[in-house]
Amino acid sequence: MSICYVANTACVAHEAFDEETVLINLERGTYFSLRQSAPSLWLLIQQPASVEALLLVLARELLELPPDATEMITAMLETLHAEGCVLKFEAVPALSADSTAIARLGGVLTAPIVQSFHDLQELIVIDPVHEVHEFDGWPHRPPPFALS
Amino acid sequence: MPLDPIAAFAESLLDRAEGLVAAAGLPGRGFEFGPLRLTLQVAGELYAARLTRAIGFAAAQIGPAALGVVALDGVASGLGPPPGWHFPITLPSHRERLHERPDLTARWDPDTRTWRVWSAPRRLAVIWTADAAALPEWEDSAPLRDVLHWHAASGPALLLHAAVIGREGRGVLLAGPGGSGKSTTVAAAVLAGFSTGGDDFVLVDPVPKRAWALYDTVKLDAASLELVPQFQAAIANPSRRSGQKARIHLAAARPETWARSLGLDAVLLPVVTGAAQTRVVPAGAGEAMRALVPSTVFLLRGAARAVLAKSTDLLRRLPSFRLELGREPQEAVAVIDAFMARTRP
Repeated sequence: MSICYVANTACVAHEAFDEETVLINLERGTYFSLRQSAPSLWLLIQQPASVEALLLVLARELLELPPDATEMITAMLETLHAEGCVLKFEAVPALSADSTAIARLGGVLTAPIVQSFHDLQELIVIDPVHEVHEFDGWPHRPPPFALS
Repeated sequence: MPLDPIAAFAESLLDRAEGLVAAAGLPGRGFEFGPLRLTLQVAGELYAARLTRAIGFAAAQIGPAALGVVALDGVASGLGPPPGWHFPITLPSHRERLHERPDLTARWDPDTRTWRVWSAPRRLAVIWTADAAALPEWEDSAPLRDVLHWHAASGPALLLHAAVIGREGRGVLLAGPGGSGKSTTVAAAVLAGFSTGGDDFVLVDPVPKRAWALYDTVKLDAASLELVPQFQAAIANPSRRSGQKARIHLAAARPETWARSLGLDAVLLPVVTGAAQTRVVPAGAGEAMRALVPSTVFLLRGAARAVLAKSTDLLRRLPSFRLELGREPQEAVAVIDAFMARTRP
Protein backbone atom coordinates (compact mmCIF):
# COMPACT_ATOMS: atom_id res chain seq x y z
CA MET A 1 0.00 0.00 0.00
CA SER A 2 1.23 3.49 -0.86
CA ILE A 3 -0.10 7.01 -0.91
CA CYS A 4 -1.75 7.21 -4.31
CA TYR A 5 -3.11 10.05 -6.38
CA VAL A 6 -5.91 9.75 -8.90
CA ALA A 7 -7.75 12.29 -11.05
CA ASN A 8 -11.04 13.34 -9.45
CA THR A 9 -13.04 12.58 -12.57
CA ALA A 10 -16.37 12.91 -10.77
CA CYS A 11 -15.83 16.65 -10.48
CA VAL A 12 -13.20 17.46 -13.07
CA ALA A 13 -13.62 17.52 -16.84
CA HIS A 14 -10.57 17.81 -19.05
CA GLU A 15 -9.65 18.27 -22.68
CA ALA A 16 -6.23 18.15 -24.34
CA PHE A 17 -5.00 20.44 -27.09
CA ASP A 18 -1.61 20.51 -28.77
CA GLU A 19 0.57 21.67 -25.89
CA GLU A 20 -2.02 22.22 -23.22
CA THR A 21 -4.64 20.36 -21.24
CA VAL A 22 -7.49 22.36 -19.73
CA LEU A 23 -9.09 21.07 -16.53
CA ILE A 24 -12.40 22.37 -15.26
CA ASN A 25 -13.39 21.70 -11.68
CA LEU A 26 -17.16 21.66 -12.02
CA GLU A 27 -17.76 21.65 -8.30
CA ARG A 28 -15.50 24.52 -7.29
CA GLY A 29 -15.82 26.76 -10.35
CA THR A 30 -12.09 26.74 -11.02
CA TYR A 31 -10.11 25.84 -14.11
CA PHE A 32 -6.52 25.06 -14.93
CA SER A 33 -4.02 25.12 -17.74
CA LEU A 34 -1.58 22.21 -17.68
CA ARG A 35 1.56 22.57 -19.77
CA GLN A 36 4.99 20.98 -20.31
CA SER A 37 4.94 17.57 -18.56
CA ALA A 38 1.72 18.24 -16.66
CA PRO A 39 -0.68 16.94 -19.37
CA SER A 40 1.17 13.61 -19.43
CA LEU A 41 1.22 13.28 -15.67
CA TRP A 42 -2.50 14.07 -15.62
CA LEU A 43 -3.10 11.21 -18.08
CA LEU A 44 -0.99 8.87 -15.97
CA ILE A 45 -3.08 9.50 -12.86
CA GLN A 46 -6.35 8.54 -14.52
CA GLN A 47 -5.62 5.38 -12.54
CA PRO A 48 -4.38 5.52 -8.93
CA ALA A 49 -0.62 6.05 -8.90
CA SER A 50 1.95 6.79 -6.26
CA VAL A 51 4.83 9.15 -6.93
CA GLU A 52 7.18 6.19 -6.73
CA ALA A 53 5.16 4.24 -9.30
CA LEU A 54 5.12 7.25 -11.62
CA LEU A 55 8.88 7.57 -11.32
CA LEU A 56 9.33 3.87 -12.11
CA VAL A 57 7.25 4.14 -15.28
CA LEU A 58 8.93 7.35 -16.37
CA ALA A 59 12.41 5.96 -15.68
CA ARG A 60 11.61 2.95 -17.81
CA GLU A 61 10.18 4.97 -20.70
CA LEU A 62 12.46 8.02 -20.78
CA LEU A 63 16.19 8.26 -21.39
CA GLU A 64 16.78 9.99 -18.09
CA LEU A 65 14.94 11.79 -15.33
CA PRO A 66 15.91 15.17 -13.91
CA PRO A 67 17.36 14.98 -10.40
CA ASP A 68 14.40 16.83 -8.96
CA ALA A 69 11.78 14.65 -10.68
CA THR A 70 10.29 13.51 -7.37
CA GLU A 71 9.82 17.08 -6.14
CA MET A 72 8.39 18.24 -9.47
CA ILE A 73 5.82 15.47 -9.64
CA THR A 74 4.90 15.73 -5.98
CA ALA A 75 4.44 19.49 -6.22
CA MET A 76 2.10 19.16 -9.18
CA LEU A 77 0.01 16.43 -7.57
CA GLU A 78 -0.20 18.28 -4.27
CA THR A 79 -1.26 21.47 -6.05
CA LEU A 80 -4.04 19.67 -7.88
CA HIS A 81 -4.99 17.83 -4.69
CA ALA A 82 -5.32 21.14 -2.85
CA GLU A 83 -7.54 22.38 -5.69
CA GLY A 84 -9.83 19.35 -5.46
CA CYS A 85 -8.80 18.01 -8.87
CA VAL A 86 -6.91 15.01 -7.52
CA LEU A 87 -7.85 12.55 -4.80
CA LYS A 88 -5.23 11.17 -2.45
CA PHE A 89 -5.56 7.92 -0.53
CA GLU A 90 -3.74 4.81 0.50
CA ALA A 91 -3.99 2.06 -2.09
CA VAL A 92 -2.11 -0.36 -4.27
CA PRO A 93 -0.93 1.58 -7.34
CA ALA A 94 -2.53 0.35 -10.56
CA LEU A 95 -0.29 2.27 -12.91
CA SER A 96 0.49 1.23 -16.44
CA ALA A 97 2.46 3.22 -19.02
CA ASP A 98 -0.18 5.11 -20.96
CA SER A 99 1.31 5.32 -24.45
CA THR A 100 -0.36 8.66 -25.20
CA ALA A 101 0.97 10.14 -22.00
CA ILE A 102 4.49 8.90 -22.68
CA ALA A 103 4.40 10.07 -26.31
CA ARG A 104 3.35 13.57 -25.23
CA LEU A 105 6.47 13.85 -23.09
CA GLY A 106 8.67 13.73 -26.17
CA GLY A 107 11.34 11.76 -24.31
CA VAL A 108 11.93 14.36 -21.59
CA LEU A 109 10.32 15.09 -18.24
CA THR A 110 10.13 18.88 -18.13
CA ALA A 111 8.90 20.81 -15.11
CA PRO A 112 5.11 20.44 -15.04
CA ILE A 113 3.25 23.74 -15.14
CA VAL A 114 -0.14 24.10 -13.46
CA GLN A 115 -1.74 27.52 -13.93
CA SER A 116 -4.84 28.01 -11.77
CA PHE A 117 -7.75 30.30 -12.57
CA HIS A 118 -10.22 31.32 -9.87
CA ASP A 119 -11.82 34.31 -11.60
CA LEU A 120 -15.12 32.57 -12.30
CA GLN A 121 -15.71 31.05 -8.88
CA GLU A 122 -18.34 33.69 -8.15
CA LEU A 123 -20.51 32.08 -10.82
CA ILE A 124 -20.82 28.99 -8.65
CA VAL A 125 -23.02 30.19 -5.86
CA ILE A 126 -22.02 28.44 -2.68
CA ASP A 127 -24.55 29.73 -0.23
CA PRO A 128 -24.31 28.87 3.44
CA VAL A 129 -27.51 26.83 3.24
CA HIS A 130 -25.62 24.16 1.35
CA GLU A 131 -23.10 23.88 4.12
CA VAL A 132 -25.50 24.07 7.03
CA HIS A 133 -28.22 21.57 6.32
CA GLU A 134 -28.28 18.37 4.35
CA PHE A 135 -31.66 19.11 2.77
CA ASP A 136 -32.61 22.76 2.59
CA GLY A 137 -33.65 25.49 4.90
CA TRP A 138 -32.41 28.71 6.34
CA PRO A 139 -33.14 31.35 5.30
CA HIS A 140 -35.55 30.07 2.63
CA ARG A 141 -37.12 27.08 4.28
CA PRO A 142 -39.64 25.83 1.73
CA PRO A 143 -43.00 24.23 2.44
CA PRO A 144 -43.05 20.46 3.07
CA PHE A 145 -42.50 18.22 0.08
CA ALA A 146 -45.86 17.68 -1.56
CA LEU A 147 -47.42 18.03 -4.93
CA SER A 148 -50.87 18.70 -3.49
CA MET B 1 -32.56 0.24 -11.69
CA PRO B 2 -31.84 1.85 -8.31
CA LEU B 3 -34.45 4.15 -6.89
CA ASP B 4 -33.88 7.70 -8.01
CA PRO B 5 -36.16 9.86 -5.88
CA ILE B 6 -35.19 13.12 -7.58
CA ALA B 7 -35.93 11.70 -11.00
CA ALA B 8 -39.24 10.34 -9.72
CA PHE B 9 -40.10 13.75 -8.34
CA ALA B 10 -39.11 15.41 -11.64
CA GLU B 11 -41.30 13.00 -13.56
CA SER B 12 -44.18 13.86 -11.25
CA LEU B 13 -43.69 17.55 -12.06
CA LEU B 14 -43.81 16.73 -15.76
CA ASP B 15 -46.98 14.68 -15.23
CA ARG B 16 -48.54 17.52 -13.33
CA ALA B 17 -47.64 20.06 -16.02
CA GLU B 18 -49.09 17.83 -18.73
CA GLY B 19 -52.26 17.44 -16.75
CA LEU B 20 -52.57 21.14 -16.19
CA VAL B 21 -52.04 21.93 -19.86
CA ALA B 22 -54.69 19.40 -20.85
CA ALA B 23 -57.18 20.66 -18.28
CA ALA B 24 -56.65 24.37 -18.82
CA GLY B 25 -56.15 24.25 -22.56
CA LEU B 26 -53.22 26.62 -22.43
CA PRO B 27 -52.45 28.04 -25.86
CA GLY B 28 -49.06 27.17 -27.31
CA ARG B 29 -46.66 29.49 -29.08
CA GLY B 30 -43.95 28.15 -31.36
CA PHE B 31 -40.35 29.37 -31.48
CA GLU B 32 -37.57 28.34 -33.82
CA PHE B 33 -33.84 28.81 -33.24
CA GLY B 34 -32.37 27.03 -36.24
CA PRO B 35 -32.27 23.34 -35.32
CA LEU B 36 -33.87 23.95 -31.91
CA ARG B 37 -37.63 24.30 -31.99
CA LEU B 38 -40.08 24.47 -29.13
CA THR B 39 -43.68 25.07 -28.24
CA LEU B 40 -44.20 27.19 -25.14
CA GLN B 41 -47.32 27.08 -22.98
CA VAL B 42 -47.42 29.47 -20.06
CA ALA B 43 -49.80 29.72 -17.11
CA GLY B 44 -49.74 33.40 -16.19
CA GLU B 45 -49.89 36.44 -18.47
CA LEU B 46 -47.05 38.31 -16.80
CA TYR B 47 -44.83 35.24 -16.92
CA ALA B 48 -45.65 34.75 -20.60
CA ALA B 49 -44.65 38.33 -21.34
CA ARG B 50 -41.41 38.05 -19.40
CA LEU B 51 -40.47 34.73 -21.00
CA THR B 52 -41.10 35.80 -24.59
CA ARG B 53 -39.79 39.36 -24.76
CA ALA B 54 -36.24 38.35 -25.71
CA ILE B 55 -37.27 35.47 -28.00
CA GLY B 56 -40.20 37.10 -29.78
CA PHE B 57 -38.13 37.38 -32.96
CA ALA B 58 -38.07 33.56 -33.17
CA ALA B 59 -41.86 33.07 -33.20
CA ALA B 60 -42.78 30.42 -35.76
CA GLN B 61 -45.28 27.73 -36.65
CA ILE B 62 -43.90 24.57 -35.05
CA GLY B 63 -44.80 20.95 -35.70
CA PRO B 64 -45.48 18.28 -33.09
CA ALA B 65 -41.90 16.97 -32.99
CA ALA B 66 -40.64 20.05 -31.16
CA LEU B 67 -39.75 20.31 -27.50
CA GLY B 68 -42.74 21.21 -25.37
CA VAL B 69 -42.08 23.70 -22.59
CA VAL B 70 -44.68 24.35 -19.91
CA ALA B 71 -44.02 27.35 -17.68
CA LEU B 72 -46.06 27.82 -14.53
CA ASP B 73 -46.34 30.94 -12.41
CA GLY B 74 -47.35 29.68 -8.98
CA VAL B 75 -49.23 32.87 -8.14
CA ALA B 76 -51.06 33.53 -11.41
CA SER B 77 -51.94 29.89 -12.00
CA GLY B 78 -53.21 29.35 -8.46
CA LEU B 79 -50.82 26.41 -8.04
CA GLY B 80 -48.86 28.17 -5.36
CA PRO B 81 -45.12 27.87 -4.91
CA PRO B 82 -43.40 24.66 -5.96
CA PRO B 83 -42.03 22.34 -3.30
CA GLY B 84 -38.33 22.90 -2.68
CA TRP B 85 -35.35 20.57 -2.76
CA HIS B 86 -36.01 17.90 -0.15
CA PHE B 87 -33.44 15.37 -1.13
CA PRO B 88 -30.17 14.22 0.41
CA ILE B 89 -26.99 15.56 -1.08
CA THR B 90 -25.53 12.42 -2.65
CA LEU B 91 -23.68 13.87 -5.64
CA PRO B 92 -21.39 16.91 -5.91
CA SER B 93 -23.89 18.56 -8.27
CA HIS B 94 -26.59 18.23 -5.62
CA ARG B 95 -24.90 21.01 -3.69
CA GLU B 96 -26.11 23.20 -6.54
CA ARG B 97 -29.48 21.47 -6.45
CA LEU B 98 -28.83 19.95 -9.84
CA HIS B 99 -29.65 16.35 -10.72
CA GLU B 100 -28.56 14.97 -14.07
CA ARG B 101 -29.11 11.82 -16.01
CA PRO B 102 -28.56 11.47 -19.76
CA ASP B 103 -32.29 11.61 -20.38
CA LEU B 104 -33.47 13.89 -17.59
CA THR B 105 -32.21 16.98 -15.81
CA ALA B 106 -33.76 18.78 -12.87
CA ARG B 107 -32.62 21.92 -11.12
CA TRP B 108 -33.96 23.78 -8.13
CA ASP B 109 -33.12 27.45 -7.81
CA PRO B 110 -33.67 28.40 -4.16
CA ASP B 111 -33.26 32.12 -4.83
CA THR B 112 -36.19 32.41 -7.24
CA ARG B 113 -37.91 29.28 -5.93
CA THR B 114 -38.05 27.74 -9.35
CA TRP B 115 -37.87 24.14 -10.55
CA ARG B 116 -36.67 23.47 -14.07
CA VAL B 117 -37.05 19.93 -15.38
CA TRP B 118 -36.27 18.53 -18.83
CA SER B 119 -36.99 15.04 -20.13
CA ALA B 120 -35.50 13.82 -23.40
CA PRO B 121 -37.82 10.85 -24.00
CA ARG B 122 -40.92 12.92 -23.23
CA ARG B 123 -39.59 15.90 -25.25
CA LEU B 124 -41.01 17.99 -22.47
CA ALA B 125 -39.71 20.57 -20.03
CA VAL B 126 -41.46 22.26 -17.13
CA ILE B 127 -40.52 25.44 -15.33
CA TRP B 128 -42.47 26.14 -12.16
CA THR B 129 -41.65 29.37 -10.42
CA ALA B 130 -43.18 30.61 -7.17
CA ASP B 131 -44.04 34.11 -8.40
CA ALA B 132 -43.15 35.47 -11.83
CA ALA B 133 -43.55 39.02 -10.56
CA ALA B 134 -40.75 38.42 -8.07
CA LEU B 135 -38.23 37.13 -10.59
CA PRO B 136 -35.18 39.36 -10.94
CA GLU B 137 -35.18 41.66 -13.92
CA TRP B 138 -32.15 39.99 -15.52
CA GLU B 139 -34.14 36.77 -15.99
CA ASP B 140 -35.90 38.52 -18.88
CA SER B 141 -32.65 38.72 -20.84
CA ALA B 142 -32.15 34.98 -21.24
CA PRO B 143 -35.43 33.15 -20.56
CA LEU B 144 -35.75 29.36 -20.73
CA ARG B 145 -31.97 29.22 -20.63
CA ASP B 146 -31.58 25.98 -18.68
CA VAL B 147 -34.03 23.92 -20.68
CA LEU B 148 -32.73 25.24 -24.00
CA HIS B 149 -29.22 24.35 -22.83
CA TRP B 150 -30.12 20.83 -21.74
CA HIS B 151 -32.15 20.13 -24.86
CA ALA B 152 -29.48 21.51 -27.22
CA ALA B 153 -26.74 19.58 -25.42
CA SER B 154 -28.59 16.32 -26.06
CA GLY B 155 -28.24 16.90 -29.82
CA PRO B 156 -25.44 18.11 -32.08
CA ALA B 157 -25.52 21.77 -31.00
CA LEU B 158 -24.84 23.60 -27.76
CA LEU B 159 -25.43 26.92 -26.06
CA LEU B 160 -22.29 28.99 -25.62
CA HIS B 161 -21.64 32.02 -23.47
CA ALA B 162 -20.53 34.13 -26.41
CA ALA B 163 -21.58 36.85 -28.80
CA VAL B 164 -21.69 36.70 -32.56
CA ILE B 165 -21.24 39.51 -35.09
CA GLY B 166 -20.83 39.45 -38.84
CA ARG B 167 -21.60 40.74 -42.28
CA GLU B 168 -23.40 39.19 -45.21
CA GLY B 169 -24.14 35.92 -43.46
CA ARG B 170 -20.60 35.24 -42.19
CA GLY B 171 -19.34 36.12 -38.75
CA VAL B 172 -17.07 35.60 -35.78
CA LEU B 173 -17.76 34.31 -32.30
CA LEU B 174 -16.72 36.63 -29.48
CA ALA B 175 -15.89 34.53 -26.44
CA GLY B 176 -14.96 35.72 -23.00
CA PRO B 177 -16.24 36.07 -19.47
CA GLY B 178 -18.23 39.06 -18.25
CA GLY B 179 -16.23 42.27 -18.46
CA SER B 180 -14.14 41.14 -21.42
CA GLY B 181 -15.75 43.70 -23.73
CA LYS B 182 -18.16 41.47 -25.65
CA SER B 183 -21.29 43.59 -25.24
CA THR B 184 -19.64 46.92 -25.95
CA THR B 185 -18.01 45.47 -29.05
CA VAL B 186 -21.35 44.09 -30.24
CA ALA B 187 -23.09 47.42 -29.68
CA ALA B 188 -20.36 49.33 -31.53
CA ALA B 189 -20.39 46.77 -34.33
CA VAL B 190 -24.15 47.13 -34.74
CA LEU B 191 -23.76 50.91 -35.01
CA ALA B 192 -21.13 50.31 -37.72
CA GLY B 193 -23.54 48.22 -39.77
CA PHE B 194 -22.59 44.73 -38.62
CA SER B 195 -25.28 42.18 -37.98
CA THR B 196 -25.45 40.27 -34.72
CA GLY B 197 -27.15 37.24 -33.24
CA GLY B 198 -26.79 38.25 -29.60
CA ASP B 199 -24.19 39.30 -27.08
CA ASP B 200 -24.52 36.77 -24.27
CA PHE B 201 -25.68 33.30 -25.31
CA VAL B 202 -25.89 31.80 -28.78
CA LEU B 203 -26.69 28.37 -30.15
CA VAL B 204 -23.80 26.84 -32.08
CA ASP B 205 -23.38 23.67 -34.11
CA PRO B 206 -19.65 22.89 -34.43
CA VAL B 207 -19.88 20.73 -37.56
CA PRO B 208 -21.40 23.26 -39.98
CA LYS B 209 -19.66 26.01 -37.95
CA ARG B 210 -22.85 28.01 -37.60
CA ALA B 211 -24.41 30.12 -34.85
CA TRP B 212 -28.08 30.90 -34.29
CA ALA B 213 -29.54 33.76 -32.29
CA LEU B 214 -31.34 32.89 -29.05
CA TYR B 215 -31.94 36.20 -27.32
CA ASP B 216 -32.16 39.60 -28.95
CA THR B 217 -30.81 41.39 -25.91
CA VAL B 218 -27.69 43.45 -25.53
CA LYS B 219 -26.85 44.42 -21.96
CA LEU B 220 -24.73 47.49 -21.36
CA ASP B 221 -23.40 48.92 -18.14
CA ALA B 222 -23.14 52.66 -17.61
CA ALA B 223 -19.56 52.86 -18.89
CA SER B 224 -20.46 50.97 -22.06
CA LEU B 225 -23.49 53.17 -22.63
CA GLU B 226 -21.23 56.19 -22.58
CA LEU B 227 -19.20 54.61 -25.37
CA VAL B 228 -22.30 53.87 -27.48
CA PRO B 229 -24.82 56.54 -26.39
CA GLN B 230 -26.90 55.97 -29.52
CA PHE B 231 -28.64 53.13 -27.65
CA GLN B 232 -29.96 55.35 -24.86
CA ALA B 233 -33.32 55.77 -26.57
CA ALA B 234 -33.82 52.01 -26.98
CA ILE B 235 -33.33 50.95 -23.36
CA ALA B 236 -36.07 48.52 -22.38
CA ASN B 237 -35.55 48.86 -18.61
CA PRO B 238 -35.27 52.61 -18.01
CA SER B 239 -36.30 52.24 -14.36
CA ARG B 240 -33.60 49.68 -13.57
CA ARG B 241 -31.86 49.81 -10.23
CA SER B 242 -28.53 51.54 -9.85
CA GLY B 243 -25.73 49.29 -11.05
CA GLN B 244 -28.04 47.13 -13.12
CA LYS B 245 -27.25 46.88 -16.83
CA ALA B 246 -29.39 48.56 -19.45
CA ARG B 247 -31.20 46.07 -21.70
CA ILE B 248 -31.72 46.72 -25.38
CA HIS B 249 -33.76 44.42 -27.60
CA LEU B 250 -31.96 44.61 -30.91
CA ALA B 251 -34.54 42.79 -33.01
CA ALA B 252 -36.89 45.68 -32.28
CA ALA B 253 -34.41 48.54 -31.86
CA ARG B 254 -32.23 47.74 -34.88
CA PRO B 255 -34.10 45.10 -36.90
CA GLU B 256 -31.89 45.65 -39.94
CA THR B 257 -28.90 44.39 -37.93
CA TRP B 258 -30.55 41.36 -36.42
CA ALA B 259 -29.24 38.05 -37.80
CA ARG B 260 -31.06 34.82 -37.02
CA SER B 261 -28.03 32.83 -38.13
CA LEU B 262 -24.41 33.41 -39.13
CA GLY B 263 -21.73 31.10 -40.46
CA LEU B 264 -18.61 31.21 -38.31
CA ASP B 265 -15.11 31.86 -39.65
CA ALA B 266 -13.15 32.46 -36.44
CA VAL B 267 -13.28 32.79 -32.68
CA LEU B 268 -12.18 36.12 -31.22
CA LEU B 269 -11.24 36.40 -27.55
CA PRO B 270 -11.78 40.03 -26.51
CA VAL B 271 -9.56 41.42 -23.78
CA VAL B 272 -9.79 45.00 -22.54
CA THR B 273 -6.23 46.33 -22.63
CA GLY B 274 -6.64 50.09 -22.45
CA ALA B 275 -4.07 50.42 -25.22
CA ALA B 276 -4.46 53.05 -27.90
CA GLN B 277 -4.88 50.56 -30.73
CA THR B 278 -6.84 47.35 -31.08
CA ARG B 279 -4.86 44.31 -32.21
CA VAL B 280 -5.84 40.84 -33.40
CA VAL B 281 -3.20 38.24 -32.60
CA PRO B 282 -3.29 34.45 -33.00
CA ALA B 283 -4.34 32.50 -29.92
CA GLY B 284 -3.93 28.84 -29.12
CA ALA B 285 -6.90 26.53 -28.87
CA GLY B 286 -6.18 26.09 -25.17
CA GLU B 287 -6.46 29.83 -24.59
CA ALA B 288 -9.71 29.88 -26.56
CA MET B 289 -10.96 26.97 -24.51
CA ARG B 290 -10.24 28.83 -21.29
CA ALA B 291 -12.07 31.89 -22.57
CA LEU B 292 -15.10 30.05 -23.87
CA VAL B 293 -15.79 26.94 -21.84
CA PRO B 294 -15.46 27.70 -18.12
CA SER B 295 -17.82 30.67 -18.20
CA THR B 296 -20.28 28.62 -20.26
CA VAL B 297 -20.27 25.62 -17.95
CA PHE B 298 -20.41 27.70 -14.77
CA LEU B 299 -23.28 29.87 -16.04
CA LEU B 300 -25.23 27.06 -17.66
CA ARG B 301 -25.54 24.34 -15.09
CA GLY B 302 -25.47 20.74 -16.25
CA ALA B 303 -24.30 18.99 -19.43
CA ALA B 304 -20.79 20.26 -18.73
CA ARG B 305 -19.00 17.37 -20.38
CA ALA B 306 -21.10 17.74 -23.54
CA VAL B 307 -20.25 21.45 -23.62
CA LEU B 308 -16.57 20.63 -23.20
CA ALA B 309 -16.55 18.01 -25.97
CA LYS B 310 -18.49 20.10 -28.47
CA SER B 311 -16.53 23.25 -27.71
CA THR B 312 -13.33 21.32 -28.31
CA ASP B 313 -14.73 20.17 -31.64
CA LEU B 314 -15.62 23.75 -32.56
CA LEU B 315 -12.20 25.09 -31.56
CA ARG B 316 -10.50 22.43 -33.66
CA ARG B 317 -12.52 23.58 -36.66
CA LEU B 318 -12.11 27.34 -36.24
CA PRO B 319 -8.99 29.48 -35.82
CA SER B 320 -8.81 31.51 -32.61
CA PHE B 321 -7.45 35.00 -32.13
CA ARG B 322 -7.04 37.28 -29.17
CA LEU B 323 -8.79 40.61 -29.72
CA GLU B 324 -6.80 43.08 -27.67
CA LEU B 325 -9.29 45.92 -27.42
CA GLY B 326 -8.12 49.51 -27.58
CA ARG B 327 -9.88 52.42 -25.98
CA GLU B 328 -12.23 53.28 -28.87
CA PRO B 329 -14.98 50.78 -29.73
CA GLN B 330 -15.33 52.24 -33.23
CA GLU B 331 -11.65 51.65 -33.89
CA ALA B 332 -11.98 48.09 -32.56
CA VAL B 333 -14.85 47.44 -34.93
CA ALA B 334 -12.82 48.74 -37.89
CA VAL B 335 -10.04 46.32 -36.94
CA ILE B 336 -12.54 43.45 -36.73
CA ASP B 337 -13.97 44.44 -40.10
CA ALA B 338 -10.53 44.30 -41.71
CA PHE B 339 -9.80 41.02 -39.97
CA MET B 340 -13.05 39.47 -41.19
CA ALA B 341 -12.35 40.58 -44.74
CA ARG B 342 -9.04 38.69 -44.57
CA THR B 343 -10.44 35.50 -43.01
CA ARG B 344 -13.59 35.23 -45.10
CA PRO B 345 -13.39 32.01 -47.15
